[in-house]
Parts: sequence; structure tokens; C-alpha cells
Amino acid sequence: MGNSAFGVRDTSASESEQQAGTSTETYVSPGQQESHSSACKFWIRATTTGGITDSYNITSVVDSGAGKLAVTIATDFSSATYCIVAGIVGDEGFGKWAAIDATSTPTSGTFEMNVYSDASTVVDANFNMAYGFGEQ
Amino acid sequence: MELYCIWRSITLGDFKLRILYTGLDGGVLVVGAAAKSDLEKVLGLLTDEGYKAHVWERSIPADAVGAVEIDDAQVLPDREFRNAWKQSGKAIGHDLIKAKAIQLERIREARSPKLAELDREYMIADEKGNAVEKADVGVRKQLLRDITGPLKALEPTDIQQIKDAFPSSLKD
Amino acid sequence: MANSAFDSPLGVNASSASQSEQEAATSTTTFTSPGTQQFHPSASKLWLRADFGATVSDSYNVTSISDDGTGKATVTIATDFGGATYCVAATVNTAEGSGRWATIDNTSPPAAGTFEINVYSAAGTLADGSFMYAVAFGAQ
Repeated sequence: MGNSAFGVRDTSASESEQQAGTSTETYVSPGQQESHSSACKFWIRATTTGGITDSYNITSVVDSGAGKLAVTIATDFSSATYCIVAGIVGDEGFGKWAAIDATSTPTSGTFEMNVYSDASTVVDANFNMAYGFGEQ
Repeated sequence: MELYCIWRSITLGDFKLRILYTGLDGGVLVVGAAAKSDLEKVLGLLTDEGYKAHVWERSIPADAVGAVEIDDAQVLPDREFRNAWKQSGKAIGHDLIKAKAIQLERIREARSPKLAELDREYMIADEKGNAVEKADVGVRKQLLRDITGPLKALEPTDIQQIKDAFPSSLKD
Repeated sequence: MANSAFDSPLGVNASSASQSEQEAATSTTTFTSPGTQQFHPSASKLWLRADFGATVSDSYNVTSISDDGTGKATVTIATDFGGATYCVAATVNTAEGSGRWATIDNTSPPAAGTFEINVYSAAGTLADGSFMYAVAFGAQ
């Protein structure tokens, strides 16, 4: 591994260099761009019946009941403390909301999301969406 | 200087800062800082003093009262009466007047649907012309109206007395 | 972070893209580096996982979180946004049977360096959950 004639290293940034996020003397390749702290590590749009309409770094989803979706990540996070933001698509007047389940607490490779209509009632939405950030 | 900063960062390891203060409205605020290593990803290498100075400057408003650093391991009170917390130096206690008001409101909220149900029972008894049933409902409604009485009369000396004052008949 | 004024023999700029070049997101003749990747509009500028007792369990570009009372927290950003109109979303982690949802507070609206998260129960009152998450996008 050496530098080009102009001082820029001629091999791309490694995963650990991306995670540190400090170097300005090596280049980012498409194969390592996602390792940067700012990069989203997964996203998903799924139906309530376990169908994935679009996703990134997701292995599968399970329709585990009305308003309940279990998500399995393809390349895990390094721990269970990653950030997950979730939302739903619902008709006007639907008035429901998404939350991440703490009873089946997130692990480094799985999490569950519930769609609530009141304190304890979970119901199906049109689509479920989620995004994840953290270190893999 | 740079080598010294690196040495400081390595030898003292990672840690998190925790600060307690009281706001202008009398509410208690607890500030938890991000880990020094996570901040360094965006701010570059930090000394411990630099990390603390950044957190204090960015997180504590000028009108904060009694701002003080507390140990990250310090056990805080349970959150049942979080909005009645009162700061005393590094310690957190409870404003018993606020806690009593919070508990009274919780009793009223728990009582409300039961009163509504009794209103329905009264209407049904009224439609049937059943005076005995109406009188019975009236007695039960009055018991519910009076359910806040013991707490209202209480002059509490500790938070547990206020916790214990929630009527068991209103618990689900 | 300044660019050099000359190109390598392959026509690619010999120093990494500057913050403004990353923000413009148009150049195909300079390279992105780990130190500047975050300035691209597609990159998140902040994310966070914290509990309701002001403990940050993991984060990026967050200085601190303040427990302001039941269901209320203020997030202080490390490197500010360029203005107050950035995009921020929050979600709550809550036990099954304990429906909660998160919003961004508009009574104390987001500023370039802070925003507040409110968490509500199904009854519409402020309430704690287990954890809260937030992510934000915009120009710094």
C-alpha cells in the first residue's frame, strides 16, 4: 500500500478508517461507503403480511400478528444499542403510530416493530418502514 | 501536545459526563453526555478537560440553577413522580406538594371511567323506574367522589406515603 | 478543507472533496474521504439511542441529552446544522401493551444545535418509554 505521486493513498479506506471518520488522505470506495458513522445501515419498506417491497441490508421480515412485524438484519450491528427510526403508511384518519418493541428487545441482528391504535391495541397499517444507524 | 492528548485519551479511557440542574420553572433536569469516543469522531481528539468544557458549554443554559456534575453511577429516584423531583446539591428528593397534586390527578383520571359507567347504570335504572337501584348507584357514585378525601387530608412527610395513597379499588 | 489546484495524471483531483463540494454533490472528478463523507446530503448528520434517564447508549454527532421531565428530552448536537430547518425524526422503544409515540417538540422548536423529543401515551399525555431514537439530515 503506497501513496500516489500526489500523497493520496492508492488503496481505499478500510472499514475501521471509515468508522473513525477522520482521514482526508484516502478515498472512499462504494464497497466501504456504508461503514461510515453517518451512513444508514439498513432500511426497509414492508407490507403487514410479511412482504418486503424494498430494502437494504435486510434478510427477512415476519408478520408475527396484527400490527406486529419482526425484522432480521443481514449484516448485524456490533451490539444491540443501534438507532432505529420507524414509521408507517396509513390512510388519512388512520391515526396510528409505530414503535419499537421493548418486550422482544432489539438484538444486534433483529428487532420488532408494533403499530398501535391505543395503549395496548396493535393494528395493521398499510406499510411499515424502518431505518437503522450504528456500528457494524 | 498532540502525543500528550493521545496519551490522556488512552490512559483515562472512555467515560460519560452527567450533570444535574434546576430550570427556571423549578423542574429538575438531568443531562447525560455522549461518550467521549463518540464525540471524538466528529470533533477530533479531545482531552478530558476539553470534553467536559464542550459538554458544559453546549448543554447547560445560562439560566440553569445549581448545575453540578454527578457520578454516572449515581442512582436516581424511580420515575413514578419524576415531575416532582427536587434538587438539593447533588441529591434528588421530592417536592411533596407537587407529588401530592400529581397523585390526586392520577386518582381522578382512574376514577373518571368508573363514574361514567355509574352514570350509565343510573340512566338504565331511571328508565326502568327502579328507585332502589338508583339509590344504590347514588351511594357508589358518592364513594367514588369521596375517594380523593384521604389523600387530600394527608400531610405527607415522605414520598412513600403519597405512593401508598393510591386507592387499591382503582388499580386495574 | 481546500482542494489542490492540479489534477493527477488520471484527471482526478489529488486531494479529497471539501465540505462544500460534498454538499453540492455534483463533482465526479474528486474523491470522498472518511473525513468528509458525512457532508454529503445523503448522509445522516446525527443519530441517537438514549433512555429516559438521560443515558446515551449510542450516538453520532450528539453532545448530550437532557431528561427534562416525564416523556421530555432535549438533544444537544455536537456540530450544529447550518440552520434550524433540518429534517429530524424520532421513534420510541416501548414495552408491548404500553403504546407510546414520539414527536419533535414545536413549542421549543428545533434550533441549529438542539431539538426536543416528546413521548406521548395513547391518552395524549407525556409519558416515558424504554428508549428513544432520533436521526437527522440537513446541511451543517
